[in-house]
Amino acid sequence: MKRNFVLGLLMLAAGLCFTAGTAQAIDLFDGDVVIHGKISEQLLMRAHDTRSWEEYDYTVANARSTLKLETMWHAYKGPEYELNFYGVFKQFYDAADHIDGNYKRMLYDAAGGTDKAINEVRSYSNFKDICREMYSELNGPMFQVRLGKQIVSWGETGFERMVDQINPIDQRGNLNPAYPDFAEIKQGLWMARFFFTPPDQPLDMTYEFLVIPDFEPTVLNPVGYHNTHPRAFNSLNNPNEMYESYYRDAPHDSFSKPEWGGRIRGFLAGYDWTLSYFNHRVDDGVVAPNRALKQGIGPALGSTSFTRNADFSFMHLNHLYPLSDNYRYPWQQDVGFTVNKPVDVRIPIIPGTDLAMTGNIARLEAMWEHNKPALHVEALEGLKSSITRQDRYAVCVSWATKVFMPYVTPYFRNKLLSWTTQLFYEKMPDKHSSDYYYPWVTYEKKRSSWTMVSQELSYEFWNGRILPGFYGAWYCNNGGGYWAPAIAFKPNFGHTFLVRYLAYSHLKDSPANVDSKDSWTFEYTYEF
Amino acid sequence: MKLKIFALGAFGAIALLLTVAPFASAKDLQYPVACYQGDDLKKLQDWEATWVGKKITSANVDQVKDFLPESFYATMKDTGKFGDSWFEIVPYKSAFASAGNVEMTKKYYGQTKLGPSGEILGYVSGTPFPDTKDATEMAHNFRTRDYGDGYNNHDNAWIVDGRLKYDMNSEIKNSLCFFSGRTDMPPVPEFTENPKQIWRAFTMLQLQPPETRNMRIMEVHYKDTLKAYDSWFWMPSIRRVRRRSTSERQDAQGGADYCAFDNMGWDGPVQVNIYKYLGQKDLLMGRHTDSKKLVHTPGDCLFDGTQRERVKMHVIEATSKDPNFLYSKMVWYLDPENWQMLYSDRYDRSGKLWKWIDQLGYVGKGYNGVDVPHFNASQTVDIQRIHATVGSTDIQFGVELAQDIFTLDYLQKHGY
Repeated sequence: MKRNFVLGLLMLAAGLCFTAGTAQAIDLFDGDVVIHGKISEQLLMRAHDTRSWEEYDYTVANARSTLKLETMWHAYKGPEYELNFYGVFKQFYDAADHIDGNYKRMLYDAAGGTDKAINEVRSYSNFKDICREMYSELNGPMFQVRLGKQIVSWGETGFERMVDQINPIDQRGNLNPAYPDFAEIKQGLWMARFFFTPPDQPLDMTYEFLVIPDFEPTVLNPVGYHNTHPRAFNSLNNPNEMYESYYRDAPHDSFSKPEWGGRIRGFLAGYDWTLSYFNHRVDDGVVAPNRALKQGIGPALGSTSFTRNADFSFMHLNHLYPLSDNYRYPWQQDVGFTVNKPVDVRIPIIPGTDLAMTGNIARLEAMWEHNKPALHVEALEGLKSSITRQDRYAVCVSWATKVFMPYVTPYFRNKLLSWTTQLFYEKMPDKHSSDYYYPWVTYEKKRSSWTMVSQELSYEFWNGRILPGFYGAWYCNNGGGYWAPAIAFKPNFGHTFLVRYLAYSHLKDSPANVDSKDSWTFEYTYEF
Repeated sequence: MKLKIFALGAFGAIALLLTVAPFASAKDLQYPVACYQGDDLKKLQDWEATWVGKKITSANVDQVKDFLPESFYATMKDTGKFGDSWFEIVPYKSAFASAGNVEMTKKYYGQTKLGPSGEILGYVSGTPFPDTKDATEMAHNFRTRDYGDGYNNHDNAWIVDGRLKYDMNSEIKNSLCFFSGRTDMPPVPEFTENPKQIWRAFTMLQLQPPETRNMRIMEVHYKDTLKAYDSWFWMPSIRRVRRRSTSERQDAQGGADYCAFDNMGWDGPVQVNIYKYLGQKDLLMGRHTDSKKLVHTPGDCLFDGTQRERVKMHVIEATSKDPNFLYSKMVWYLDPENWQMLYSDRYDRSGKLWKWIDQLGYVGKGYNGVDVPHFNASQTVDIQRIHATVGSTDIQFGVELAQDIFTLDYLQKHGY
C-alpha cells in the first residue's frame, strides 16, 4: 500500500513535469497584477527501524502536498509614489497518517486518544496560518511604509537565527530540520514597518522601525510527530497537552503592549553593517513559577474527572485539563550587530595545487539578549521554581567562498564549488545548571556556553540541471551533530526533483532522542 | 652667444609645440572614421551588388567562408551537431557613436593615458583613444563605448541544450546608468552630485525562471578602475539583501553559458588582461539587426535570420594576467566605427576553442534621437557541450534614471 502510494506520487510528479511546459507567472492587467507560486509533493520516510523504546513502528512521517501563492497588485505607480498590495498564501495536506497506520496511532495516542495532533499535522486549520503575509505598501522618495501581516528577515548568517528574531516560526512547515528554510516557516505578524531613506546621510545610513501589536508563539509539531516524540513522553497519557497549553497561554497584547524595534544600516570603508534593537516577548514560553507538578499531572493523566475538575489553586493545581495557566511569555531586549565585507584574495587550500578559494565574503553577526527569561529550579525538582532573567551573548562568523577544484571545475564549464563555513558561539555567564534554558540555548542544561561549526557546500553539473549539496553541523562541546547530503535534478526551469538524506550522529542522548530518526526526503516542486 | 640664443629659441619652440600640440591634434582628429572609404568602398559596393539579399545557409556557407570568423563558419558547417542554420547578407552602413560621444572624444582627446598596470588614467568622457593602433587602448575604447548614457532593457533568453533539443527560458529587466563618462544626456560629462565617484551603476530584476523570480542585483563600478566593484543582491528565497563578491567573476552563472566576465562581451577591468593587436579583418557581422527577423527554433543553438554586413573589424587577442584564469585566451572582434565587440572566441585552459559570443549589433535611438550603436541580440555557443544561450532585448536608451535606484535601500524596499 505504502509503496503503491509513493509510486503514484512519483508518477504524478513525472506527469506534471512532462506536461506542464514552460513555467510562467500569471501576469494580468499588463503586469499590474502578478500571481506566482509553487506546488510541491514531499515524502519523508524513516531510514532505519524503530528503536526498542519507540511504541509505534512507523515509516512515513510526511506525505505532503503544498500549494503556495504569492500575489502582487501594483495599484498605483507614479513618478514619486507607488502603492502596492502584497500577499502570500500557503496550504498543505499531509496524507502520512492515511498511508501509515502506526504513525496515525502514534499521533492519536499522543493527543490522549483524540484527533488533535493528527489534524495539526494534516493541514493548516485557520486563515491565520494560511495567510502568511498580506500588506499594503506605500513607497516614496525618502520612505516606505508597510502595513499589514509581514515577515521580516534581519541578519546575515544562515541556519543560526541570531538577529533574525522578529517573526516566530511554525515548525509544521519544516521538512528539512538540517537546514530549515526560515523564510518558509516563519509566521507572519501584523505590524507597521517604516523605512526612512533620506539622502546624504553620514555613512549612507538608512533607518527602519517596526511596531508589532501582534504576538504569536512558536508553533511546534505536535507530540507524536517524527522528531517530537522523545522517550520520556511514552509514560504520559496525553503529552500533546503540554504543547496545547503552550498556545493557550500565549498573551493577546494587541496595541496595549506592542513589540517594537529598529535597525540602522550603513556602509563604511567597504564594510556593510547593521545595528538593531528589538523589544519583544519571547516566542518560546517559559514554564511559570511552581508549575512543575501541574505541568506533569495533566499530560500524565489526560482527561479524567480529577484533571477536569481539580481546583487547588493555592498549589497551582487548577486548569489541569485542558492544561492552561502554565507558561509565561516575558519580555526581553535584543541588541544585534552584523557586518560583512568581501575579501578579495585567492587562498590556496592545499599549497602547491590549484585548489583554492576566491570571491570570499566574510560575515559576522553578534547578539546580546538582555533579560532572557528561563525557569530557575529552586527546590524539589521544580515544585519550587521562579523565572530567572539573564544575558546571553552570541556570535556567528561566516566565511562564504567559491572553490576552484582541479580537473572538476574546468570539466564542468568552470563551475566553482560554493562553500560556506560558519562558526557559532554562545555564552550565558550567569547560567546555572538549575536554569532551564534548555533546549533553546546551549542545548545542555549543565553548560553555559556552546560552540557549533557548520558546513554548507553546493555545486552544479550539466548546466545547472544536477545540483548536489551538503549541509552538516558539528556540536563541538559533545561531539554530536548531523549531516545532510542532497541531490536535485532540474530537467527544466520550474521543475525540481530532490532527494535528501538526513543523518544524526552521536545524538543518542539528545533531548528529542533523534539519533534513530535519520530520514529520507523525496520532493518534487513545480514553480510558476 | 648665438648658440645660446639658438638653444633658447629651439627650447621655446619645442615648449610652444608641446603646449599647443594636443589642441591642434584634437582639432585635426578625424573621428569617427568609416571603415570603408574611397577604393575600398567601391570594391565593397561591387561585392555587395552580388551578395546583398542572399540567404547563406549551412549548405552554401563555403562561398563566404573568408568573411566569417572561423569558429562561426565551423559551427554552421557542423550540421550534425548544430543543425542547419542560415543568415542574410545586408549592405554595409556606417554605425558611428552618438554626436555627443564624438564631441566628447574630440574635446578630451589626448588627456587619457595608460597607467602602469594598463589601467585608464585621466579619462573624462567619449572614446579615450580614437586613433589608436595599440591593443590595450582599443580594449579601453571598447570598455568606454557608447551606451547612450544609460538604458532600461528587457531581455528574453533561451538556454539551449543542443543535444537534447530543448530550451529553458529566462527573462530579465536591467537598468544601466552612467554617473560619469556621459556624452549626450545632460548633465555631461558627469552628474553634478557624484560623491562616490561612480562610473556606472547597474540593477537587474529577474522575472523568469520562477525559481529566481524577483531576485534583484545591483552593481556599482567606480571611476577609479583599480577599485573593486561593489555589489549586493536581494534573494527572495532568504528575503535578505546580501553582499556579493565582485572579484570572482569566472563562476558559471546558473545554467547559462557565460560567467560575469562575459556579460556584454567583457564585463570586468581592462587591466586584468594583456592585449595583442592581430590586425584588421573584413568580416560579416550583425550590426543593423532587426531583432524581429531573428528566428529561434527550440533546441537550436544558433539564431536563423541574422543579418550580416561586411565590416573591417579590429582583431585583438586578450590573455589574462592570472595564470588560473578560465580562458587561456580570448579573441575580440571590435567594430572600428563604435568599438562595440561584435564577436569573440574564448579558449579553455587547454587551449581548445570553448565558446564564441556573437553580439548582434544595431543602432538604437538615444536622448534627443541620437544614434546609439549597441546590440539587441546575442548568441553564446558552447561548442564543446553543444549548448548555447541566445536571446534578444528591447532597449530604451537615454531614459531618466533616478540615482536612488542604485542604492542598497532601493533593493531592500523593492524586495519581495
